[in-house]
Amino acid sequence: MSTAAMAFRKNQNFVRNKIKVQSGPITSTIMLIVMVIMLGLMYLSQVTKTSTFNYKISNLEKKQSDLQATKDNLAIDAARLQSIAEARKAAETAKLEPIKTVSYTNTK
Amino acid sequence: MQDRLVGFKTPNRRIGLIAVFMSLIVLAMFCRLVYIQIFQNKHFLEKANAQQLRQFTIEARRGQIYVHDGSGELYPVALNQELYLLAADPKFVKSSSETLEKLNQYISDNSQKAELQSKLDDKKLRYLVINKRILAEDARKIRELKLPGIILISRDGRNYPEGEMFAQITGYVNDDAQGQYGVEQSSNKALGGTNGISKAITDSLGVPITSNENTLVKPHNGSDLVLTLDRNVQSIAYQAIETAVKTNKAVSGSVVVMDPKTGAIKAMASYPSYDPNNYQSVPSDEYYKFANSSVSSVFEPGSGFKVITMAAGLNENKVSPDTKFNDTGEVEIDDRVIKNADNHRFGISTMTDVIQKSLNTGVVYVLKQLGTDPNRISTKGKEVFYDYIKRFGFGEKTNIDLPGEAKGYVKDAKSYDVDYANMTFGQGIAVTNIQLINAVAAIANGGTLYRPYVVDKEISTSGGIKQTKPSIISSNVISSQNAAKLAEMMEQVVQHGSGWPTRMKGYRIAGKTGTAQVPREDGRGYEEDKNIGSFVGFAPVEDPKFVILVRVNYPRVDGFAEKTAVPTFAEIAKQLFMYYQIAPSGN
Repeated sequence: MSTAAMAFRKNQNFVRNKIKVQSGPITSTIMLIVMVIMLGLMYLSQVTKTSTFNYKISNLEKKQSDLQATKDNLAIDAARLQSIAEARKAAETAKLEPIKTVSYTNTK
Repeated sequence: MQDRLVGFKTPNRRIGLIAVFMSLIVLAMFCRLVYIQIFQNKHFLEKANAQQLRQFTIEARRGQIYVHDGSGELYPVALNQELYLLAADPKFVKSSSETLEKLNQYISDNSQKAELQSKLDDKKLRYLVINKRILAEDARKIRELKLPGIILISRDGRNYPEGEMFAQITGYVNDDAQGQYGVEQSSNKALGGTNGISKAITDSLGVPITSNENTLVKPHNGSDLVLTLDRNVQSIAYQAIETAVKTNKAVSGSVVVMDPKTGAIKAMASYPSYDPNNYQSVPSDEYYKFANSSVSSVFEPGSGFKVITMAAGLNENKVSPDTKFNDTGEVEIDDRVIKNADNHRFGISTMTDVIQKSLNTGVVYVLKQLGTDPNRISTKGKEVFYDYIKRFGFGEKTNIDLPGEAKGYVKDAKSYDVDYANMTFGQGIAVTNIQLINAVAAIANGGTLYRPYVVDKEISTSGGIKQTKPSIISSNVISSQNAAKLAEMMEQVVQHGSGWPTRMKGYRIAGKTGTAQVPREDGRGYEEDKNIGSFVGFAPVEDPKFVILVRVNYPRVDGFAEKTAVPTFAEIAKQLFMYYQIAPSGN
């Protein structure tokens, strides 16, 4: 710092007042109300979220149940179409002949 | 002013009185609260829970049942199916006749239509079941009809794609989700799983609402079962026994095919059968169709039992295949005369002849040899024979994993000599199909008696597999050498005896016919015009791949088992040689 500057500073009167932060009963009440409102809002948002998720879960469960029912019905159709009775009908329709004799060859 | 206050208390006193009065009220309320909150706590908690907390059962998904084919591919024989219960609330039904007309095709029993109409008109009734098995597609159509007072309730049902063919093996599931008969009953616990529970706080309409108090125990779904049965072998067996029953105008029939090296059942068919998809339609006088006759129905095996008598003789070294005896055509025991079938007499005959020609006198001779004096039936002989009958598993349940197994009936060694003489050729003894085929399987495999089984593996929802291992009941019923000798003797039945229709070029088949008389219900002798034809055998003799038992009940054609059961055995064996690709081994 230069000499001139130091001289200038020396001649200055510095006054520093202590700032007192004080809260009265109104401030406390307002803060309490704000806190209660904020907590209430948070609670409401959580409850809404939970309800939304519950609704989504319920929807998904219903979808799963519907898909399972569809899968079951398709499995039944597939089983019915692959059943021996159906195979026999198909063989009759195609006029397939039953095997009467089998010839074995010795590969050794 | 003072005058006006005369007769009244001062204001302070009045305030005091009001304060006391108010305090008393508060005290009374406090006491009441204490009473309700503390002393009546349990009572009101229960009341509140009853109103708000509800318990829901979450039904576990039933496991499915599969069988395989020769290539190892699995095919379902019991599947889950979404079904609906069709019901009505008569209070809200506007026109009963119109409602019934629109639901006509969904009414399972048309004979009950009039009764249904009168019940629908009864407005005091609040719940009336119309049909318990409505398919999902039909339920959709019914909903579209928008009939007032008609209710559809979803429920888990069962579908059996192979229908009658596997009916006695699978059984069915009743309306209470309980397995009845077959594997559905015997493995009900494994298939059914464990239901889950949901406890939830509900609103005034009973709809669950989110709450920390809600609890959920998830259901544990049932395991799938894979059976030992091969669906192609089952098809062959079912078709063959159906033909046999129809051709012989018989009352019923059954077939069992078993793997002699493990005890695994490859086919178990009965005819007539029923459709498990529609089990309710079976009339009460035909309920016998539900039971698996191969495990639950006993019969006198007749000559098929001679192999057991001969096994005892061979294994005790009392006779050999070449041991000779003089067949006079009859033998006298006590005051009774036992004769050969058709009164034949063959003179000097070997033990092989006894099996081949099915000589009653021959097996009585073997029983005599088992005792202390070879010229008569002795207590020792009866005890030895009884021991062999037990060793082969007769008179005891085989413990096959199917319900309703009968243990049969075997007279003990203290019985009369004539009773034991009759038992040597299968009379006066009651056995089941499964006991007889299991005993012959022990001869086929060299002397090991296995526990027969139908469930090959259990697959849990987590993928864990519980494989059934073949279980040995007795490992040395008879020695392997004697089993081989007996198999050769039984081979002669096919080559030169009553089993001739089974003869096939290049294949060694062993078997024994049995034409059993049917005891009269009053216990006095036998029915005149009834018999049970059976044939039990195995092939190929040198390395048996299958054992087959065929039984035809009450055929209405002339002749013995060679005309009823043997051709069926032959047909099945012929197809199994092709199916298992068993090449002929010689001439």
